Amino acid sequence: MTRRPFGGGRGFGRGGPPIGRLPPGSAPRLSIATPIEVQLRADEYRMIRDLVAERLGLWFGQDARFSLERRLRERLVVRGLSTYADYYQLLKYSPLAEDEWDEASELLTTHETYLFREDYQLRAFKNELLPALAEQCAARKRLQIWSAGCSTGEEVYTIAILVLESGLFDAKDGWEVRVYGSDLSKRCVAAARRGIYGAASFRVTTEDSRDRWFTKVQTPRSSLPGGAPSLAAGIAGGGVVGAAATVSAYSVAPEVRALCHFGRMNLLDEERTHLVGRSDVIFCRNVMLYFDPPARRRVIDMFYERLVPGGALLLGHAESLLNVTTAFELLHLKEDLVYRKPSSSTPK
Amino acid sequence: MTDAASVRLRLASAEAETRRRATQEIPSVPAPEASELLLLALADEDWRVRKEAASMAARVEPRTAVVFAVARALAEHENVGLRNAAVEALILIGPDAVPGAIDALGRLDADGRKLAIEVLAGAPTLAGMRTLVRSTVDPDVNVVIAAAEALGKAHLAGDEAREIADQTLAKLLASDNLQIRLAALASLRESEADVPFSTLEPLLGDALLRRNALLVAGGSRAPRALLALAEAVTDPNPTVARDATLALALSLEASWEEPELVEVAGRTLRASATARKRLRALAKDPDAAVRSAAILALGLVRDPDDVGLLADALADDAVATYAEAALHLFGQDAVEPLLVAGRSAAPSLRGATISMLPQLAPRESEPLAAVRDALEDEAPEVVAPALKSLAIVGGPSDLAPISGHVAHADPMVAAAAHGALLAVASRHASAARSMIAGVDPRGDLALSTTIIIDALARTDASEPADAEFLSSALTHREAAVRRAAIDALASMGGDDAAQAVTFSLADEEPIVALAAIRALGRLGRAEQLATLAATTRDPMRLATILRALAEADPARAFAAARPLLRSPEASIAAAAVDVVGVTSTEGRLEALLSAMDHPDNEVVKLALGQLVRSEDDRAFAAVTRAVEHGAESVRRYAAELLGQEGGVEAETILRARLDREPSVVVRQTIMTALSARPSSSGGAPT
Repeated sequence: MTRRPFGGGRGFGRGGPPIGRLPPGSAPRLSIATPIEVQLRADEYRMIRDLVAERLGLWFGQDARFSLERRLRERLVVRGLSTYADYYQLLKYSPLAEDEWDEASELLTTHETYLFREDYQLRAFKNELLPALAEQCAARKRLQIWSAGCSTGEEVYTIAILVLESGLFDAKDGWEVRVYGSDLSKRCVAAARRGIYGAASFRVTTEDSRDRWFTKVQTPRSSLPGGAPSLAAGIAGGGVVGAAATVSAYSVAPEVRALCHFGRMNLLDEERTHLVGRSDVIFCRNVMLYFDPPARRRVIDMFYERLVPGGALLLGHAESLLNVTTAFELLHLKEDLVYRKPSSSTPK
Repeated sequence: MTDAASVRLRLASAEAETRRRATQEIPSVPAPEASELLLLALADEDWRVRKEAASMAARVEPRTAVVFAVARALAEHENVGLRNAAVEALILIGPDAVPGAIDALGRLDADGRKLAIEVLAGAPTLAGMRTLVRSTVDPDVNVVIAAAEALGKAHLAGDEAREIADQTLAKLLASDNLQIRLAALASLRESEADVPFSTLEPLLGDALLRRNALLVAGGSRAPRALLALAEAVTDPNPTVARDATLALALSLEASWEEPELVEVAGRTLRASATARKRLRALAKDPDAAVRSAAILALGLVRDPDDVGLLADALADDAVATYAEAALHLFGQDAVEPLLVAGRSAAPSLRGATISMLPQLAPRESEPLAAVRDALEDEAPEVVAPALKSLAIVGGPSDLAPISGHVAHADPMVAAAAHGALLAVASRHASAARSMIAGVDPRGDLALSTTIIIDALARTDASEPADAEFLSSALTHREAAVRRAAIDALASMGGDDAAQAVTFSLADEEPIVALAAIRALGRLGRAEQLATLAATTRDPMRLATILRALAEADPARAFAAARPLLRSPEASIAAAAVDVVGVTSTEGRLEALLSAMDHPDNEVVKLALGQLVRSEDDRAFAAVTRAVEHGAESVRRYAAELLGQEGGVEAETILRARLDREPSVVVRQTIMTALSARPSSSGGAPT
């Protein structure tokens, strides 16, 4: 007895139209494909997707097959592979796997960010959390903040600026402040260490703040994170910058840099995360939404373990711990809700 | 077993964190104290303790006793926290909680009945849905509304449940009570019911019902529906207009192959300046679904001012499909604005526009000059799409410029140039041949020449001197040339080519060695490959050898790979599964089934991935068994495959597993698979 093939007649195709209930690929896919471009089969997609989730925690949903194919295609070309099944073998079993994961993670992560992002949360941090921390940490005179998934470093420098602006943790009074930024991407961490940003990173920064904490410099356009002009802008007003060799940018002031440290880290790598030490505050904004539920749970458990009792966890505005864990208390601030490790808790 | 007294003591602690941690131990307390302690924790004053208790409920035994004990808490009036935690606990227990909720329904007051209904919605089963249908005639109007809302989950409980729910909800649309009509519409929308547009049309005039009625109409191919949805894009209420745009896009997709239907909406949108303004704003909405819908609708408007906006969307994976479709509706009218915009935009967007031009402009037209100009761009993101475009529309004059990019430092540009040169040289053989006369096989032009020889070989236009050139090119200093020479020799064929390629198996560059293996497959060297397969342990190399062998001699590849399926080395077994899976040799199915009990879960998943391509019942049975596999990752994978299968049998299996599945992650996968199933009733509303 035979049955129809799995998925037969369901019309699942390439790409993923996100409109309501429509099956992916219902709109005509019109991209030009050259004869040598390899396509990612459904079974290959699932295996690579699961591997990526297990290793990096990043979750690609059912509509993301085309996205994964596009992002990883370059690696097949570089490695001279003829199928994504070969690429799976490479990532899973090859002695070259470690190096390849470095390259793959660069292509699979999202790096969009800017300075002073989600200002209401930063105000709550500056006006309410920092004064409380100044009291809590007064005896040891040491404050550690971790920006987990810091991308190109804008969040780390923002936090350091807010700490400095608060005036509560002056080194002259013996305070030792450390803001640690970690990211999965080696290139992002390198950009964070450079600490030079173009206009796109300052989209919500006041001129006063920019002039106070940054110095104007000339830098190659290619070295800047983000900031690409759009076609619509080109049509509307012309005057879009071309591919000029150097552009004006802003470099982080030395006093801000002095507080900031960076490192490359996979949040699922327990050996590495233990190196961070205990933090008073952990920022992990707009990172967890890319994780699958088991990875989210593992990372949250790790944050709990890495926070000092009473330490705060700040997530992105669209993220919560609902149905992830009950281990954190909700702390109601005037402008935000943040999570706090109970003061009475004991390390796991 | 944990001591019940100790847990009870800690549940009485003044410290919430202590009580929360004690709650985590309740499942290991023996019955009957466990049930009692669970209720204590569910009634705790701290939300974290209650939440923890709810999440523990499914692990407390005996389950039936727990369900009926917790269901009694639905009658609670004083402690609202306990009541809500009880609902959450019962939902997390799942289908096993349904009899308890149904039983409680008959004894509860109206407030309690609403809570029981919430449980039936949260743990959807056919029995629960039948109960909800009965609740739509409850004497309390709020209970009826709750039941109507809950019936929106019927699609998760199977086709029969969906059918009885949809029928009930459709009847409720005629209710005198506005709230009931509203709830029924919302549920019909949630269950994606097909409701005739004639039923919905009268509801569009009611300001409160309009939005949901429009959403339910989404996907309809009725001309009046397309007209109404297009008109509603101009609704003064921005939320209604937004939802109308989403619904319109669903109908447009459903009608895509029927231009006269699409034009019904197009005419309406073009006639309204307000509609165009609205769509432009929605095309920048943060929600990708809304952006996609607005972009598709803007394609119908065909206003050249929108081309830049649509082209921007080409660089956005989430909506690119719709942007391409919309630009196609413009046809040649999009070309000029695309060219203007492309001159100054970011590289990735310039590349996206370049890739669209050959699809929009006639061959050899002026705009294609822009594609050729793009080869001079310094950004790889522009050059690669231009080369891909020329692969399709390029002529003899493009051969030289394309050749200039085959050794480009960017791998994507080099690969695109390779493909383009192969394609254009195949189409214009004589022009290609004249280009390669007298080229030094060790020189800088060796790569492009080798690729052209490959193209000529593929069109049976080889000359004797070509083989000599390629043999020399095999010793070129650049790996890319050696690899291209191997490919070209494989295209030429013959024993001499095979002999030459064999030496490259030992090349120090993996890309060359792998190309040599693949070439031997194309050249039919089964004996040689079988020998290689017996001595190779590197998994990637072995997989390539076996796949090449499959091309040369499928039966032999199968014979070589089959014993490797049981290899204790997962990497070897995985390579074997990959190859056995793509063959159509007799015994393939049995071989794959033998890999299903491999100790490595990844091998089992790979085997499942291959089995689902089979039309045999035994493959289906294997996937069914895998839903019971000991490893969570395998169960999750199998559940996804069954969900994709979409048949009634698969649905039954998934539902049965849902009742017993201990892993939250797998349960979620099953729920997603079930909710994604299309309605078996099918057919577009008219």
